Amino acid sequence: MNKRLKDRGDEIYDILIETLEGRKWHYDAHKEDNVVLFTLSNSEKNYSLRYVIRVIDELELIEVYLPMSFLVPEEKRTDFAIALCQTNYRLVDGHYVLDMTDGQICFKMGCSYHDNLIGEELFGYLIDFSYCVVDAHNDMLCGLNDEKITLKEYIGLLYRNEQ
Amino acid sequence: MVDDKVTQAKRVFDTICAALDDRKFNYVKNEDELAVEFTVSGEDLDMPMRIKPNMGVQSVILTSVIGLTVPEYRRTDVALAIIGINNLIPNGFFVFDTVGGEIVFKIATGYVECLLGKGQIQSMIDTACEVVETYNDRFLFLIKDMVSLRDFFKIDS
Repeated sequence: MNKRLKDRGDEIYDILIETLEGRKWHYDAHKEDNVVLFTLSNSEKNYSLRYVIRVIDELELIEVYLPMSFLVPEEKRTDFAIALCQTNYRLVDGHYVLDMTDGQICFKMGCSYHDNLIGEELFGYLIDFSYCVVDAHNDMLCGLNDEKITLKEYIGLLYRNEQ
Repeated sequence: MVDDKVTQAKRVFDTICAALDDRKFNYVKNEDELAVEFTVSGEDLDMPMRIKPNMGVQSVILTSVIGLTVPEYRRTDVALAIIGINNLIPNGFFVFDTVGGEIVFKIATGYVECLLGKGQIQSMIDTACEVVETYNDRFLFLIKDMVSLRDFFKIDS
């Protein structure tokens, strides 16, 4: 591995740790992989959002993943593919990914730090923005998975919530 | 605070223009929207691109609209293809309007309190070109029923 990229990756990882320390949050740090895991709870809605943040040295990339708490059963994955495409189309930044093999949905945000001097504020933005997005869609996606709403209703809600 | 956001967005806009000047690209500036539009000629297609800083989220966003409208009867397969592709691309992603049939490649970089250089903008353009060139024909083949969804992922780039 290119030493410059490795050193830069370590530097970015340290900024991530400083961000979480500054917020006095509990986290699991995996320095060997430049990965940090933590959970944020929404006490009002009684659910938690898990975060996986990874600094990828060789790509000079920060990846933020928020895995959803449920797996989509196989027979519903096509509907979810359509629902998530439409959701992503309307998002300003970040996107949902769905693993068609196991039904895991994650919200993902990437941010390159190639020729980009970043600080704690950027990590703060990535964490806060992804929280807001998932918080806005969590109930709707759960509703679609639990068959409380249809795909058509889900898409209708996306449009309605924007107005 | 709003002034800070405007100032930072203008600085990013200047960096975008400088990055394109370095590459000697012809581009159209929209100073009101702080947006820049240009076309990159690839090996076998022209790729329209638009870059602009989004003041609301403080990200610089590049979009490249794929010049195909997906007919209604192929939209489910295209949605499944895009969901699959987005698991493979490390940076950037495709979005698909399942209602209108438009496919767009998008890549974003946050600039909150950052010092964003020309190299970042050029890297975003290079990534967009590489990904769009890889998948453009595949989308066309899929839409025209020339490949199945299963074979879509087997085509050599």
